[in-house]
Amino acid sequence: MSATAGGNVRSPLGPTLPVLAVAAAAIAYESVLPTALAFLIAAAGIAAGVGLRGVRWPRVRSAFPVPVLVALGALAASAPVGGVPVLFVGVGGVVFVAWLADDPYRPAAGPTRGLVEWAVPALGVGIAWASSDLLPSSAASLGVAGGLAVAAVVALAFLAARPGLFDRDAAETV
Amino acid sequence: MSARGQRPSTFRWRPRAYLLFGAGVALVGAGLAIPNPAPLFLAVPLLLAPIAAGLLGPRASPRAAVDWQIGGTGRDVDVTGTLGFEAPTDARDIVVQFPVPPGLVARAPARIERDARTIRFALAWTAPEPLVVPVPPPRVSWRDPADLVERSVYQDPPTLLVERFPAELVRIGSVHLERTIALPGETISRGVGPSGEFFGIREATPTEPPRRINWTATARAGRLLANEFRVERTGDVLILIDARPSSLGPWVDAQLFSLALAAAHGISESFLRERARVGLAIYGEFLDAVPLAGGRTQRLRIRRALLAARMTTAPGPSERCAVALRRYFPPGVTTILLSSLADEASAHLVPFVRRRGFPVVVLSPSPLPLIIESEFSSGEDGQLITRIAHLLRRRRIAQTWRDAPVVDWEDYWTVGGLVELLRRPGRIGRGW
Repeated sequence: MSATAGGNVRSPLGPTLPVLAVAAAAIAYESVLPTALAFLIAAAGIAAGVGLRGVRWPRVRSAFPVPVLVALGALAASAPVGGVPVLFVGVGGVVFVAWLADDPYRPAAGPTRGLVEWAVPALGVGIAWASSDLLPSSAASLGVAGGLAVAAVVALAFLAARPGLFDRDAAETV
Repeated sequence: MSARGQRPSTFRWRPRAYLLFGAGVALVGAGLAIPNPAPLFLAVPLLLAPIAAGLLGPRASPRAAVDWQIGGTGRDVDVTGTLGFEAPTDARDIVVQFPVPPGLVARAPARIERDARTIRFALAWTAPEPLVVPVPPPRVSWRDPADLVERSVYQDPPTLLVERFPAELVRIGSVHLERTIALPGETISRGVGPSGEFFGIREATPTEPPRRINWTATARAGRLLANEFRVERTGDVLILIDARPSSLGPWVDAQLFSLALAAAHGISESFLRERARVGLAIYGEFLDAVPLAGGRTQRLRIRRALLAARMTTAPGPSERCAVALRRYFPPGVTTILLSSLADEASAHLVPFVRRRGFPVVVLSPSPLPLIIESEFSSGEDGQLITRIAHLLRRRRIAQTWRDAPVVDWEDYWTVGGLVELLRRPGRIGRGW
């Protein structure tokens, strides 16, 4: 039994792509890696992500976030310790989430409808960055950011085990 | 993905959410191991985004109001309709898929238009062969724009049935059928209605015409009572479907069985419209029977039985079918047997049924168009095989003709031969 999916397919070069490219370029610029190599990693990751997003086969297409995540992760791991580089990395993560919402196989204006999805992480990044960089004891940035991230993981595990917090109905996944 | 009738709503994390969770945890680990705060800052949005997605959109399974109808003529099947949603559900976040029913082919991609509250759709399918098949409900779910979480959508669409059968079957009901009991007036119908012999007295409905009120009984009882009458029927017909597998293989068997169901549906609809009594029997391992009756309820019974019918994997002997038929149906009822006559077992059913007192007409969907089309379409050898297959088929039909007239149903969109055979005078009770 086959199924006909509805909707017109737009170009994978959506409006959030330039923003993602600029964010990745900024992270690459700040990286301690050789500039050319850092830009190459960023460009390759984004190009592979966009390419996979345009593929017709849904199973292959579903892997499109992976190369971008790998590129951003590699660049983040090579970013120097400092206020501006970590801010760029955090913004890069937020833009990546907004780019996910810009799905060419779904109706347009996904990032607008999914505002909460990237606004809440942006708020989290902003709080983490402000607390680690603007507070008097800025040397404790790793501790503050790490604490926030660990708290997020704990909260995530708690929430993943209780989908009823999001939904009044029974869950199937847990 | 979508719930129909009941409301078992679901909340699911999509695979992409797990990807973000995994990547976030890996980045936290890397950041603490290096140590470097930058991976942690990348991890924060990845871990928070799925949680934020869970807060987006409806907090329970949204309800979809489905309004759809079926159209098109001939082989074309057009389904149009709308899916309506109420706030806070945004119809642009609804993922909808329309499964193509088995036996139908998509003529064009589904046309879907949406605004914030409504999804309008138009589906274009083609029926390559006659069929009767229900349209499956659409698969509907709500997903956030980033595809991180999913909720099922509650829907209860009205049942749609695709009915495509040869045009001649629409008028086959006008064929005069013999009564099961030879003498006029002896047919005891279970149906009751506004004409014919007196049947009994019942409570009157508020809209009962005054002529139907039994005033004497009303005066005695002190409440309105109405007369009820037996309905005259034009005759009886039994449709017998052979649901046993043959040597042709499961795919061809399934195609021929689908054709038989479509023909049975068309024949029963037409005769029931003409107020005849119609019975249905499907023989696989055992006999499933819908006894003779008329009217709308019988129409629904037969439709339900046809939609539930499946090919059996354990075929029963032909004699069992003939014996079981006598338990449900009176002898002498005009019997239309739908069988491929593909092998000896199916051909043997005809004499057994006839010897039990059922005058049989065989409508035999030919497997040759299916086999030749799929396997031997061209080449010299292909032509030779086709000719031999036609000769074998003719021989099988000729053998069966000794017991009952056979209509070789090779062009699936016409059954003129069957109508002509049933119209032939003196066909019943003369031993064919």
